Amino acid sequence: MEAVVQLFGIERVYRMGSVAVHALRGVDLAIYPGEMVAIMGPSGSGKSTLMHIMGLLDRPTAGRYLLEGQEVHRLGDSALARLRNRKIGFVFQAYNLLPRATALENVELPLMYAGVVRGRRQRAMDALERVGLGHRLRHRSNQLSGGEQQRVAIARALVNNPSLILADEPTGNLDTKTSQEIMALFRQLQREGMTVVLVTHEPDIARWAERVVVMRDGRIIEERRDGHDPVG
Amino acid sequence: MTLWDSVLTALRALTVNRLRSALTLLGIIIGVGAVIALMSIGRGARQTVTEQIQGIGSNLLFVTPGQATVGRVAGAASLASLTTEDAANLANLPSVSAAVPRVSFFGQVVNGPLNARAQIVGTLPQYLEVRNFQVAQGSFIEEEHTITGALVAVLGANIAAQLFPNDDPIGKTVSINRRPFRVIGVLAPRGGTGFNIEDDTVVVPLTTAVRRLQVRRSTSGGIAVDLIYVQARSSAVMEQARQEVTEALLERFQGNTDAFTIVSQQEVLQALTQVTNSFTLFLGAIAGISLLVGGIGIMNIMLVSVTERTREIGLRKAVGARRRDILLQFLLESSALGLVGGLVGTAVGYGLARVVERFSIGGQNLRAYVAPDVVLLAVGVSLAVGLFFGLYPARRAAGLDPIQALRYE
Ligand SMILES: Nc1ncnc2c1ncn2[C@@H]1O[C@H](COP(=O)(O)OP(=O)(O)OP(=O)(O)O)[C@@H](O)[C@H]1O
Ligand SMILES: [Mg+2]
Repeated sequence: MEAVVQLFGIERVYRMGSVAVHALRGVDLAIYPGEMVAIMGPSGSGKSTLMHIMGLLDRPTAGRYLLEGQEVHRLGDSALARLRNRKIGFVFQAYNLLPRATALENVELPLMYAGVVRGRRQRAMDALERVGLGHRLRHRSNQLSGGEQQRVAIARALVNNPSLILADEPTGNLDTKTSQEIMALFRQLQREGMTVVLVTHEPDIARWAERVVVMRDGRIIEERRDGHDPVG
Repeated sequence: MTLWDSVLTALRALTVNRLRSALTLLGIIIGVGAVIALMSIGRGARQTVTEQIQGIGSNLLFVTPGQATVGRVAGAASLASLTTEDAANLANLPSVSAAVPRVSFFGQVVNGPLNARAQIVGTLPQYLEVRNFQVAQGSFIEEEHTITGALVAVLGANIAAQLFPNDDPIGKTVSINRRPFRVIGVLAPRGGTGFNIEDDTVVVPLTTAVRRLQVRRSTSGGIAVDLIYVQARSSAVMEQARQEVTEALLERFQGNTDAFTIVSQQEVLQALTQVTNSFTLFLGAIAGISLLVGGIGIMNIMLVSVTERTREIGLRKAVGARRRDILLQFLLESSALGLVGGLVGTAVGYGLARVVERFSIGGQNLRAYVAPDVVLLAVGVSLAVGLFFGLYPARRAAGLDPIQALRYE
């Protein structure tokens, strides 16, 4: 089976004047369709940097990146924007919803940038239904609870049927119970065929993934496939 | 992203902060309103001038003695060089339908305790037609009046109103420069837009004016006059008429081109139009400064908006917005401010123009003509101002790094 993501020797160096910060020091990683991967590691180990590179928001200083077999490092800005739009769904710790827009409008946003006009509303409604928010379509995001906001963000991430959902500490702002609900939702999406990569500090969250990648100082130092599923 | 979606997104962003958008609009509205009101006053002046010049008569050439540009010392003889005889000769030229001589000076016209200062015009009966006047009451000067040098006068509308506020002036006697004249007629007013001075005239027979009111001499027969109105047979033969008049006068003055000046009605109109156009442009430029200030207001508010929405911009990029999508969105916002400001400003400017028309300067009603091309220009410029001043903020928004934008607090 072809990998969704293939990383070879990815490095990312931030130059700050004369100082060079090595955020990533050669990462090799392959993520396959239908996988749910948790990335763990201490603060500053490069998890977010790696997510940004996988999500095409950032470019590696060195190394190769194949997204669904396609070499991406030579692509221009608007080609990358298009790929982000079609193949990647982001979920952020801070939700990042448009505050005055309704849940529906937030979920429609990626479809809007995809140029979808017909059936847009329906697709957004379906996505919200999938995350269990069919009853909150017209609520503004600032009228929703944290957990609900994160569900809207997840609906937004999956509405365009991406190849990959990237979630950087998606439960970082949520209480334990809500966190577990959000993880159950990711798990359900994974069962439905979605590929999910998430960053977390908490073992309780990482446990939902069957594969855990641990980073330190910009390198992958450990990989486990023993993550067990508390539901089944 | 479809253009329609971009437009809707931009409009939504503007309605989120209504008060702020409204205040920004106000800057543009004031600018455009001022441009339209002031330029309309300029255009109104041009229209007034045009109508006045056209009201003087049709297809006229003004022939005056001497050079119009008096740089060197002109002899008294050369200044008094045109005569009634010349006028009679010019009237016989093939392209000329009439040539009416005129003398004029200021005089005091008195009726009992009432008196008025008037321009006294001594001329011939054809004056009425060539100068496009109408007689409101009584009759105009006739041939026999000029032959006999009769003491008769035709009053301009204002003079009649001033000297005879309550009674019929016809048949009454007025004194002009202390000589008694019988009033035989009153001219119809030129109307609200005409030269006021044209309603402040008193017309008397040419011979009377010269013999009884002012002593004049002539160089070579006939009465010296200070102006001959030459009317061409049609507008098509204006140039030809000018040619014929020039040739005739050159012959008469032995090739001395300094002895006379010919100016056509068209030239007067062009000269004055040029003046009013510069005036209009000047007013427009002054008002344009406030439009510029309005534009800076747009830029300011767009910069604030970009900063405030940094995270939103990062998010939009993360879900697939390209640089140009962001650029377009912000440009649409700023140009919508410009356009809406331009449209509302047009309405305000139109209202101001109507208000201005209620005022008058020196008895002359101010006129403001809201010309379509001025409106188009003002709205176009305000749209351009929105675009121009939105460009820098929009480029800043489009150039934001998505990761940093997403992290922005
Ligand atoms: N824009 C930047 N400029 C300079 N250094 C940066 C920049 N972004 C990240 N870094 C550095 O790169 C390293 C990795 O950062 P990164 O955000 O990937 O860590 P992380 O694993 O996500 O940490 P956390 O768990 O705290 O979110 C850190 O040392 C950080 O200081
Ligand atoms: Mg991080």
